[in-house]
Amino acid sequence: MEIIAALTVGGLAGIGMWMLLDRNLVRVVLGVAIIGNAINLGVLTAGRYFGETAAFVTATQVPADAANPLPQALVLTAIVIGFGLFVFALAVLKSVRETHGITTTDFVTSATEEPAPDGRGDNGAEDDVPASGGEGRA
Amino acid sequence: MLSAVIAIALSALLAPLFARRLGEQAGWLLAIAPFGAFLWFVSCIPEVAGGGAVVSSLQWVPALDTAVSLRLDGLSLLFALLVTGIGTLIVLYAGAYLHDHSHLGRFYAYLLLFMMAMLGLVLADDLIVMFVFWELTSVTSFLLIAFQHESAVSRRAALQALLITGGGGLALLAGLLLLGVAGNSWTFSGLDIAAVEAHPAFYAIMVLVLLGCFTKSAQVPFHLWLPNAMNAPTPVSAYLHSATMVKAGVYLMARLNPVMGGDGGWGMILVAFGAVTAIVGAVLAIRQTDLKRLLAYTTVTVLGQLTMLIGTNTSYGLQAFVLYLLAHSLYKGALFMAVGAVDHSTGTRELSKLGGLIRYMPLTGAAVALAAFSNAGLPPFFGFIAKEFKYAGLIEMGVVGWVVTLAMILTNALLLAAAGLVFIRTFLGKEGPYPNKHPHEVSLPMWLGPVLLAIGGFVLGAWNDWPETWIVNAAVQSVARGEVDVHLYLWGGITPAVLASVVTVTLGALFYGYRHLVRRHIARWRVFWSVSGDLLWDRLLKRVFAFAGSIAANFQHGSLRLHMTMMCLIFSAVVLVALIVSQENLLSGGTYSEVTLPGVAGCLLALSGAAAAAVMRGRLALVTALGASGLGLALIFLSANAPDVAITQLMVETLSVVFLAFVFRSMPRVPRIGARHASVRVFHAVISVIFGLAVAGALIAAVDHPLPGNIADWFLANSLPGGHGSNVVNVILVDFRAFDTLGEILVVALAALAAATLLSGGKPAVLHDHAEPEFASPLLRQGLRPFAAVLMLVSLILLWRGHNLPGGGFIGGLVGAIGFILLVLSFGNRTARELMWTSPPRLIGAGLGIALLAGLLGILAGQPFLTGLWFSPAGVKLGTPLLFDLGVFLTVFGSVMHMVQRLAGRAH
Amino acid sequence: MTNFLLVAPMAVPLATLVLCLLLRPRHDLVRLVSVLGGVALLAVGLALVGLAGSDVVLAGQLGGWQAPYGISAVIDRLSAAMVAITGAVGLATVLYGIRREGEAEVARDFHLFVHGLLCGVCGAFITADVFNLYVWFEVLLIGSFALISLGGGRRRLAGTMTYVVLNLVATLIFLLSAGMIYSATGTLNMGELAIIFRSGEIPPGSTMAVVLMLLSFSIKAALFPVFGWLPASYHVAWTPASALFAGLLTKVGVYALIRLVTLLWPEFGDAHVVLLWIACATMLIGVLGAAAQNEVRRILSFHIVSQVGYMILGLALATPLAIAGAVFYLIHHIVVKANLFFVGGIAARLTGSERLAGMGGLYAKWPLLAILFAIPALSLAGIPPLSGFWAKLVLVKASLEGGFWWAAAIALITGILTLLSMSKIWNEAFLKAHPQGEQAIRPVPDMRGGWWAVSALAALTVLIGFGAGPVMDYAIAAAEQLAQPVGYLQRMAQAGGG
Repeated sequence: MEIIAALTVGGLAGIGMWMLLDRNLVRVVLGVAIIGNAINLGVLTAGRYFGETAAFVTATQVPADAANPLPQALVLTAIVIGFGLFVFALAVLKSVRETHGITTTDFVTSATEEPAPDGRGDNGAEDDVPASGGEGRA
Repeated sequence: MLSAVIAIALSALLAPLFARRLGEQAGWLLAIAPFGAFLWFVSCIPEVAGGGAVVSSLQWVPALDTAVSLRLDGLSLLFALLVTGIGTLIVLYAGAYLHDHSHLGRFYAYLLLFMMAMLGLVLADDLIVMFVFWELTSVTSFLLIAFQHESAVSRRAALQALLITGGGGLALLAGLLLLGVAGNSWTFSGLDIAAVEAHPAFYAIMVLVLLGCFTKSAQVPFHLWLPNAMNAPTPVSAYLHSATMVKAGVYLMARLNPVMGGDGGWGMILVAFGAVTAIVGAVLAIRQTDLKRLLAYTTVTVLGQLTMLIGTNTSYGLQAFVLYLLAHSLYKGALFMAVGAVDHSTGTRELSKLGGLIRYMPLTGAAVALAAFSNAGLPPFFGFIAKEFKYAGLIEMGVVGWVVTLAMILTNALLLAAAGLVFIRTFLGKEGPYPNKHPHEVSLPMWLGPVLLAIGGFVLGAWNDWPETWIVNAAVQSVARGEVDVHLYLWGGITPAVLASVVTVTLGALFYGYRHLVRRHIARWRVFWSVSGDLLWDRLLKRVFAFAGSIAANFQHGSLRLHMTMMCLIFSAVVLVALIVSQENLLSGGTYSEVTLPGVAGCLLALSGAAAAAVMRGRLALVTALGASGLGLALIFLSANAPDVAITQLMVETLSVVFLAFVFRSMPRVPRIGARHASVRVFHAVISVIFGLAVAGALIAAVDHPLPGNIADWFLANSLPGGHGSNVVNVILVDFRAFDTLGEILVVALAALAAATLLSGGKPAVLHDHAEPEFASPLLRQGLRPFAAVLMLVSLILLWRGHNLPGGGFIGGLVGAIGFILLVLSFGNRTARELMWTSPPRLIGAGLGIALLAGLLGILAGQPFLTGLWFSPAGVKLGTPLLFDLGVFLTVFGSVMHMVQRLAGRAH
Repeated sequence: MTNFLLVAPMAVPLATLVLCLLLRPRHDLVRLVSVLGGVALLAVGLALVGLAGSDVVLAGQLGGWQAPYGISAVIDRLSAAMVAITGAVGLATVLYGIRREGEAEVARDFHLFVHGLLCGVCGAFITADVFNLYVWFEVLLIGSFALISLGGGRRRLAGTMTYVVLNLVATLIFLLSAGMIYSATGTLNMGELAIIFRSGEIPPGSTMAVVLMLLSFSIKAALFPVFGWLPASYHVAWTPASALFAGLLTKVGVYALIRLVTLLWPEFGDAHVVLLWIACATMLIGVLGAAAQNEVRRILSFHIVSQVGYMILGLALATPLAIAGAVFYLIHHIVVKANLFFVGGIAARLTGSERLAGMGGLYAKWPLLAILFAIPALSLAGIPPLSGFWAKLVLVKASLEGGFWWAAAIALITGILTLLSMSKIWNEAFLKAHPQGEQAIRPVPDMRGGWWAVSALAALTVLIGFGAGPVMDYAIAAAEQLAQPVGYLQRMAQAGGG
């Protein structure tokens, strides 16, 4: 099972990377989610799949063949963290769409290489001392 | 000694203040410190002349055994006297010269700062401390050259000087470090000469140190910065770039002469470079028509001659070195100041425009006359003695000596001609067309300097046994490798040296007489001028910047995909290399658990879902595909006996899908699969496959053997007795590894806040009552209300039972949040908000606060952070871990609510 | 008390964050709490340094569960120093960030995120557990996401996008490697890992896991060739945010590298050779990239890369002196680099431009700012007697002693190139006259906090420079601790006992 799982992880990771290399930010964000899933599965796999029952103990006895609880806890943590990051990525996607009106990554990123606009702000007039990134909004 | 340095530093710091208060009069006040220091050094003369040395030391960085140890021997004394003595005069001079300049205060500060650095440089006995001061002189000289900061020319000159001397300085640093290691001592006085000479790195040390010295002392080919440095105000040129700083390199060569000056070729190198520098400088000098540049080039010449003299390493040569150093500092300082005065009163430094100034400026004129005679090396001036000894020293060397002597004669003759230009052409003859019609004698502080220095040059020459006994002797001893007997004389009978002098004088006179002819001849060597250093310098800089640009371009393509490609390839490469290096043989048949059907099904579902998400275009299709992939994952988790993980995955997946749906509403169809060009697509496909294989390979390598360690068993065994919970996973989350969970809820909280701030600039959410149109049907709304309520209830139950059965803070929070989302969808977020009776950020804060509190309670009980405290009122086990879980619940719930309120809003 | 001090570096910012959240509507109170929180963190850091200075290694088991089952936390000299310097820079950032102008909500949320980020940073400094380290990295990562996007705007969002996507992938690599480490060695506790790796018989698969973890650290530390994300994003953030990043973020990666490498491979080996080459490449490429830039913060961003190279050089040489040099460099660099970004921000606001071409005239009109720039700039270029000089001196000395003369040469060449680009800023922004004339330079309101921050950090730089003696002693003792990490190993010893 571990091998199959590992291959699945590889497959998911590969697909995710393919999506990350897409021109469109929408797919890139989805790719982040996919790779995230892949790695979560990977962490669980790293803890092996031995054990017949879930990791529950009763006062009377500790099941001898319980699954390894540690990686489960780790993955649970990782899933929730991944969720948080994914939501932020969505927010970025949304506001990129709203400010740039386009989600083609390379068109967007090229903006970072433009010379800094002049102005009294900490870094240029365009985004003056913290102005909500509203100016691009429709 | 240290106090002298510190006093000057202090007056540097006070300078701007004084200047603002007193204007140009501040000079008198600021000159006190250097003058005091000068007197103190004078008072040290007897002891040093007696062969002793004044030492003082102060710990600085013991770990590197670096100490501020100063040592005043003959050589240091000579320099210290020059630095402080001339320095005093310069400070006075500067006040008058720049009296109307707005930045006079800064100028004083820099000047005194430099004085401090230079003094420290010549006094330091510790290698590192010497270097510290060495670099400081470079920096202060940068500031002073760029003093006219708005002229691009000065800025360029300053940068040039900084980079050349600074670059040499870095080489010097390496040299000094090697020297310290080789001579197993970090002080000049403590260096083990034999060890250094025997050390394999001896030549490396020599080259590195000489790089430092040559750059600083403007030896060919590094000489080009010095003439440009003349853009600095004249006091600076007089002080830094003729009398003191440029001699720092010479000083260091002299200082290290006893150590390096064996038969390792040191002498030859010095003589060779010195001779070339001297000739180049002299030839260039004659071409100049600007008095200041002319003097600058003669300085280059002199520096070359001094280097040459150290190289001779003969008793006469070293005496000549010391004498000439002294003489030159005196007369060149005088000449520069005088030229400054002339410039100041006539408004020009062009030879063609000058002449007959003696009428207007008698005192300056007299000073120049004396200095020029000394410069020309005519008896009975100090310069004459120096010249005699130069020749004697060189002749002592035999054949090579004779060759070099010719070079020396030539350069001296040119110097003499230059001196002629400075005095005769400027002060005698008919008046020149000065820009300033009515030149006048300059004020006291401006003529005082030149006059005193010039007279000094005369006196020392005429009564030469005084300097011999008191200064020269000790200095020579500290430069020479062995004992040297010193005896100065004005007239030593008809020696070859005297003959050489005669030749020099006549030659010089001829040069002066036929200077136009000479100039024309020199001008013929076009080739030589066309490869002027400055051009090369500019080209070099341009090359460097161009190269840098080409490098930077590789990393500043501003393409996310290229960055990603890079990272992907590197990851794969690392895995590959690691696999090879650590010789993992995959599938060596570790013990694997058997394949389960749901597991495989899950894998397939996950893969196909992902694949679909990778190729589909419709927004709805993408969302569904992603959801499917997530479900597959949940299935795998379930099959792996990980119910909590599975449930969490389900919840998270649901939420993700909902949010995706919210966001995608504002998105167009995803236009096209992958890259535009087929070739790029193929490339991407390939590296994606490689990446996937790398991940799989790495993972297999990791699981390809039984899991070591007993951690799992320990958790299972201690969950109930120690953690009072039968759901081991949950106990790990809220107790065994609660510290992870604390960080994790913090991530969720910050993510929610960050997303909200990003989307709405942190403003409170816009509350509205209208439902999402998709949920507008009244029936649905009526149906949803109780359902949502039920979900709330369920979430609380999940929270409570989580410690023992599947559930817990996360799951509870997520379920509750989903319930609320339904309300938001069907009734608009105002209802939801009212039901929540507080703002999400508050909830988040409360949640984090409770979690933190639960941890701190442990500390209050004298236990480590997050230690569980348990008590059972009425048989119900309660404990801080449960409190912690409540915190988790609130945080997750609040965060998700916060996200919803922002993401749900349409773009407005 | 020690129980508290052990977690205080993480707890103090977290508590501050909680208070800020609860007081959220009251902007002035949020500001006040935020500043107080910064002061408190600095105080904690100083207390820790005091303890560590007297060779006390704070160590404990969070939740009271013995290692390796529970999570260990250890604060040795290195951690203590990092916490203290984090406190200093954090406080400076908070001060600089106090604004009444602009959008009030954003200015307020800035404080929330700064403390969130500090919490993550300090958590990473105190933990002795691999997975826990991952969690704290995530905390500081999401904090940095929030800060870099703060304020929005076209360029900023574009930078955010690059930053977010690339860093997400990097942290996933970290997560994967953490899982692999558990899978290969059966533990997550750094102390036990150290024992396993130092024992000689390394379980199969563990080397690869560790290497992958080092890779993810290298991405965070912006080492060649995986630093691309840094110059692509740092220059778009709001000045205090980018200053905080410049000071801290990459250094957390460097800290993690130092921690792990010294724990697992105390002796010079193949790994160190590789690191050495990477370090040299990083130094050179970074400084060359900087030379090509024409905006203050772009120049400085590339310099971060090249400076990180110096630290890794020290780590790679692996002699006590070299490690000490790396530690010293770390401390010095955080202060100096953050300060340069602050000064750059003030200069940009005074002159109304961040492009060197559009700046100028500050030397004549704002001498104080000129001094405040010159100090960190010269220090960065390694001009004595400022802090940077000692750091570089030690590293060059170490590489010469180690016989790696070429490494020393590269370090020195990098030094002169650094000087070149620093003097470029100096000439253009300060000496040159302002292209639109003097009147174009207008004082900006509401910058008092910024001036305080800048002055304090400059003073600190000078202090480290002249007081190099004690600092160097501390660094060397820290290096010895890293070679003999009793704090980490003891955890396991106790576990064996109980």
